[in-house]
Amino acid sequence: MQSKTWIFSIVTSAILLAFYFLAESIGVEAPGFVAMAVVIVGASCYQHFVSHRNFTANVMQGDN
Amino acid sequence: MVLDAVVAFFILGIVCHLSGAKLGFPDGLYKSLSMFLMIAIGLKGGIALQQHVDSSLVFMSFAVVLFGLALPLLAYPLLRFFGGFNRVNSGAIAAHYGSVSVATYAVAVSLLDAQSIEYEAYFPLFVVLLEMPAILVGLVLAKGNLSVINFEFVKKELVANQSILLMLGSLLIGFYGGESVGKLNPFFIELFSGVLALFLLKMGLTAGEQLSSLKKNSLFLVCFAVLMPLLGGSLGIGLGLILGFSAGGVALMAVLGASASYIAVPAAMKQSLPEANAGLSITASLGITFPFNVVVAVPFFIALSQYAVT
Repeated sequence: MQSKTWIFSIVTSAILLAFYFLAESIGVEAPGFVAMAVVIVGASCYQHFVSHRNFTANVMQGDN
Repeated sequence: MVLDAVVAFFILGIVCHLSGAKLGFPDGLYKSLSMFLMIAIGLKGGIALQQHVDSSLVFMSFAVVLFGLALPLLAYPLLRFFGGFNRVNSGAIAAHYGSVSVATYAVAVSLLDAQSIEYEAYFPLFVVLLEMPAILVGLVLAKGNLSVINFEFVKKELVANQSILLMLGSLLIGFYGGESVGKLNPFFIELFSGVLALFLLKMGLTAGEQLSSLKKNSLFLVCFAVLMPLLGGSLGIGLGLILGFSAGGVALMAVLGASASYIAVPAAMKQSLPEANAGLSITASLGITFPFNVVVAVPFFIALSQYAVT
């Protein structure tokens, strides 16, 4: 996964959480913001894991 | 958190698609419902405008057009730098996010009516005004020069644009129709929420299809499609407060800033920018931004506007 995408997803999740806390502070329930942040962080971690696993597999194949 | 009954039909549409239920929704009905909504919004605005015309509307319209020009300029660098999209696709997606979604606007109006929150009568005019500027900016960004904006383009996209013609025409009919417009109320005004629910059911089915097509560039696209409504909506709230709108007006300005087009702009891009990947824009605007706006952002912006104005 590109580092720019990683940074963008982290910034987006942080902004979503900021909106959640803003909603809480004005007395509005907005669990959708947290749900989206969790989805984005989860997808980022999954993509990071997959690209790391593929990289490791390629290195191992190179060794053999 | 209580979910609005009209919005619930949108979620029902997504559930129907995901569960594999075959809802035979005719294309002709979808087009008819979309025309009904545009005419109803225009008429409603025209009727209300009869009592609220003043010279400040010209200044406000100018500010709204500037807002429409600014939104794609905000989206474009994000798409180029973080998304790594080429100039053409970045320009096309930016155009979608600078323009507006009539359906999102209709949902916001329905929620405001349900909560008896007042809003300015002239908003349908702003919806019409916001359709075009983003298409122009998006095309200029994609092509890298101003030559795309010529007489033929303006004639095709502005004069013969179905959404603009229907909404502006209905607005004028509502404004100049006097008391005779009252006989249209039982059909266009009183049935509005029911028709919107049916329209959202179809939109839910379509959004479900778009969600299934998320593959390449999906993570960036999801982030962008969620972030842009928050940025555009926040700017819309700022503009609404500067222009001195009521709480409902500020909320509608936020919704116009947050929404992304999936009817008018794709058609314009298909004609003027055929090399752009239409799937990217539609997936982002219809598959992610529209559901996010309807379920999360619109109710939030309505609450925030009430808090900011009072």
